[in-house]
Formats: sequence, C-alpha cells, structure tokens
Amino acid sequence: MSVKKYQLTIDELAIDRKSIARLLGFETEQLEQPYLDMVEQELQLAKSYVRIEGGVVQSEQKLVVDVKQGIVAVNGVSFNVGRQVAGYLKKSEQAILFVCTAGKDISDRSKELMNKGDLVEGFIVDILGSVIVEAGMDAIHEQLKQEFQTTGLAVTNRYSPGYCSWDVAEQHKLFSLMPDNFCDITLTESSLMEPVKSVSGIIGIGEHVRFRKYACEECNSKNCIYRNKK
Amino acid sequence: MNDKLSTLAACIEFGKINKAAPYPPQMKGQDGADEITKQLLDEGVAPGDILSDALIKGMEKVGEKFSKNQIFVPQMLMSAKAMQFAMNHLKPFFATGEADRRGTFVVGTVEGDLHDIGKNIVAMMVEGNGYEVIDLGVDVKAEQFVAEIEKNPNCFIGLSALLTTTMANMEKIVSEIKGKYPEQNICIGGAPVTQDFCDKIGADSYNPDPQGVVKFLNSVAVAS
Repeated sequence: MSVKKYQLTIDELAIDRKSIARLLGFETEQLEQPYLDMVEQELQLAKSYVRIEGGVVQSEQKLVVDVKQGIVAVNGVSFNVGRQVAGYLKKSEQAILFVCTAGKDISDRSKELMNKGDLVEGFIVDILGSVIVEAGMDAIHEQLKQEFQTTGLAVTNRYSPGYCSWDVAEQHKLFSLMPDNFCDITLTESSLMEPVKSVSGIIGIGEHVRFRKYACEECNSKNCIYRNKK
Repeated sequence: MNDKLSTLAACIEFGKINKAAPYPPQMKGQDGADEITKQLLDEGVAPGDILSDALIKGMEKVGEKFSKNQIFVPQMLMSAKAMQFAMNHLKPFFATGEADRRGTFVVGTVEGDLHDIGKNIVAMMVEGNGYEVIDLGVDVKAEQFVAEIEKNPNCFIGLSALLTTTMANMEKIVSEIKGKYPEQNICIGGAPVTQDFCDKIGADSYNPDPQGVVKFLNSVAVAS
C-alpha cells in the first residue's frame, strides 16, 4: 500500500465563512456582530497554533464492491458501508483511505475558553476546529483529484464511518489498514478519534467514477451535522 | 414589578453582560446583568425574587426564542454568560439557604464519549433556569452517576452521547441507575439519540434541544 502524508496551514485553506455561520446555527449563513469579530479573532489566533496533518493510503488490490449487500472490501478487509455508499463506490477500481486532523490544541483552546466562562468564544473555536479539519481534507481531496486526473482517473466523494448508514464502529477496521498512529491520530474503544477534530474515511478511484456535487441532498440521514450543507 | 427586575430580565434575554459589554448594540453603555443584580441586592430585593422574577424570566424567553429559531446558539450562550455574571452575586445566598434553586441536575457525557459542547449548552440553560448543575464532564461511568445520586437523592440526571457506539453505554448507564433507583428521573440527548431509543432503554425523557430539557425538569420538579 502506498502511503502519503500532508502538512497544511490555515493560510493554505479556503475557510468558508458560510459553513462557520451554518454550524454556529445561523440559518441565514451570515455571521452577525459581535460573532463575526469573534470568529475572525479566533481564526487569526488559530493560525499561530493549528497545524493540519493528513495522510492517505492507497490500496494495492482492486476494490471489491457488493452494492446489494452494501459491502466494500479493501485489501481483503470487508466494510459494511450500506447500499448507498456501496452504490457510490461501485465503479471504483481502487480505494484511498484517509485521515486528517486539526490537532489537539484547538480543542484545548475551546475548553480553556469554556472553563473561564467565555462560552460563545469556546463554542466558536469548537466549530472552527470542525471547519478547519474539513477544509484541510478538502484541500487534500483536491490534490488527489488533480494527481489522478493526470493518469486519466477520477475520484469519488469521501465517505466516513458514522455517516450515510456506515457504522462508526468500523473505524477500527479502517484504522487497521493504515500505519499505527497515522498522523498521530488514535482511536478509542468507542471508535472516537483523538484528537477529536479529525476525519477519516474512504475515497474511490477509477476511470468511470464521478464526484457527486449534491451527495448530501440525496442522503436521508436525520442526525448528520452536515445535513443542511447547501 | 420593580423596573430594575424587568431591565435585568431584558439583560438576560438579550445577553447584556455588563456595562462594558458592547453587545447588544441597543443596550450599549447601559448597566448589564452584573451591575443590576448587585444594585437589586443592595436595595434589599430578595435573592429568590431576583432569580425567579428576572433571571428565570429572561432565560425562559431565551429558550422560547431558541425553540422558534428566532435566535441561535451563540445568542443563547451570550444570555447564559449574562446569567452567570448575575448568578455570581446570588451564589452566596444559595449557600446560606436565603435563596432556593428549583433542583439539582447532574449531567455528563457517557462513558467512551468525549464530546462536550452539546452537554455544556444544556448545562448552561438548565443552570440559567434556576437549577444547581453538577457537571461530571465527559467519559462518565455509571458508578459516577450513582455516587452523585447517593449524595443528592432528589437530583435529576442528564446523559449525553454523540456517537452511535456510545449510545450503548447510555443504555448501560440507564439500566444500572434504574436497577438501583427505579424512580430516578433520567433525561437523555445527543445527535444520534431519538425518542424510540429513549423508550427502548427506559429513560424518562428525550429532548432535541435544551429548552425541552428545562421543560421536562420543570414538570418533574413541580411534581416531586
């Protein structure tokens, strides 16, 4: 399996203010004052301590997909991803497994603010951690897209345990296919990644796969935090 | 009602922390929850009246507006912060028994789960509505909840979980608590939690938002 690691800074990422506003709860996706200033101030500060680290592992064997059973197998390890994700991956020839983290410091900063009574700022930093790690993985995803394009291959959207009916408990199988402590991310018994602001999952690669721009709109999940993404 | 009590309720509702706070713009330069609470106490207004006639009233409006999507989490937290500044003046009176809280709420994120933002928001709203909150933090085991029930026999329990894997621990904790204290009121919440799950595990209340938790606590606090 080929392994590649990435290191990114916040300045290299496209941090979408609308995503921040939406995750903070503003349905209009517009940040009002004083929250706009708080977001910009904490984002500026985060640039000094957040280092985003990501890593990908490309499978050696052909990806096996059984849409009817909702199963995909990567290098002999079988994942019960559900029919929906299996369907999205069905034309994939190989798989890329990924992780990305915004690190522990951003969660520590959120806790520190909460503990000293700066509730709004603590909540904002927690949301920033989520947005930064997704933006980091967006950047890695885009790099992968461009790299594979040169060889005539396309990449799918990324899919993660815990979303789209894929049981989060399968994180353990996913991590078993990656180097130990990959990007310093560990897994608790309950499948929670530490640092908490981390993402993991699978991306399909193939000549005939496509990136679905409106994947969230096709999903019927009722509790996904990205459900309202437009 | 004392005008200052109404003004204090408005400070809580709109998140006016103190005079120095520039938010909300329409109250810039005015005294906030911090100063007005102190003034009311200096004028001899009973701490219990300040709590029930101003602070809880303000927080109730916050909860209502949040339920109707008229305000969002940051505005609610701003109100909670204003509430904390006011409560700092009242805390000595709770300790001496000169003012009473509605009850005690013991809350924690269940064993195996480290997410705490949702739990913290619920804790702040519940505290703002006149309850003493004992926050056990994250990764809390059944025996820690049981120990708190032993120390606070009339408390209410709140369990939070964000992962489907830790919902199983929520079930285990409810079962262990109910095994020892069948009448113990337990409310549960968190992104993957549903009413069906609540019914299945024998918890007493599931609420998708903090205001629901407050309503549930108010209903059982009155009954008990």
